Amino acid sequence: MMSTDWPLWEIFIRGQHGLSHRHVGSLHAPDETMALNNARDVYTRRNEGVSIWAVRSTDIIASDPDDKEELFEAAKSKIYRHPSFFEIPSEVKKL
Amino acid sequence: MSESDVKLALRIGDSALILAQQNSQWCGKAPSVEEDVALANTALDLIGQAQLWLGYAGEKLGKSADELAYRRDSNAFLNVMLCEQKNGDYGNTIMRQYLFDSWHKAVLLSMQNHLVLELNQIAKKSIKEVSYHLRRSRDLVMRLGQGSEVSIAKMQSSIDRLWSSFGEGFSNFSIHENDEYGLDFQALEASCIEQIQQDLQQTQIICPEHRIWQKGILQGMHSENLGHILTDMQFLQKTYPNLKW
Repeated sequence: MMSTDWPLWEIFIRGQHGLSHRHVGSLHAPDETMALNNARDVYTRRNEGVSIWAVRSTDIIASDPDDKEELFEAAKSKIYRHPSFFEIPSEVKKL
Repeated sequence: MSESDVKLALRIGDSALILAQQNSQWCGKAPSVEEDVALANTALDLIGQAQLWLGYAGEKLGKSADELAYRRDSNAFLNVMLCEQKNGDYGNTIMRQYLFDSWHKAVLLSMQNHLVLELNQIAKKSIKEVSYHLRRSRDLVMRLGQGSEVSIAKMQSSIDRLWSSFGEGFSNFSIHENDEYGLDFQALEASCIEQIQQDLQQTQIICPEHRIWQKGILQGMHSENLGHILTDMQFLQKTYPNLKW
């Protein structure tokens, strides 16, 4: 028995010269094949990508915005946690 | 150089142009926003390809692609008859697209080594887009053909209605017996239909058995619907010739 509702999917595209997939938006599709096809049609219209990831929105677990302070405050004020005193060679600029 | 190369370019180019014009009517009215964009994309791809084919034909005929698109009367168009069939409901539009994509891809594949360099270049460029078109329309036909009673019934009546005009695309128009610029339409017909039959076997849609193909396009005879399509498409250029953006 097929369901008639189309779940929501989040779409991530990696551009030709990019290194990681970036979130570009969302769309509805009944299943994986159509999610990919629709993502290709909706989000790669202007030659933006070479790779598409589609994830059901319900599979994404996100942190609660209210927890922002608890989770992320610590990192801000402790410079000894950042490797900022090393010289990064130009060959690995992207690190 | 035989006329077959120009006819071939117009056959494919006009088909792409007319089908794109028809599909564009769905813009803003498709069943879902994703389908809307997908169908519009397909139309845009086809227009891009039509520009190339009509550009080639135009060079040989001493006209620009625009002149060919906007100034010719309906009896000069060589599009395959399938492309001028009415949109109907969305299922019908998708069935028409699937049949056209099957024909289109088969034709482009057989042109990969065409003797006329420009033609084989245009074919090589177009085939990537067309492969995706076929992949998409085939996927939808397979889904609708395995769906509900309603979807199966609609797709069945669409293919029954479109079949004869679809076959018109296999009309042979080579000038001479051994025309090296023409295509082997008999072989194309066989391989194209075999593939469609294979696809449809996985669905509840029954592929029509007959091969009673319509004719007339190559003799300048079109259906009434082309008149309506061209009225929309050509009105502006015919009323204000050489109007530019």
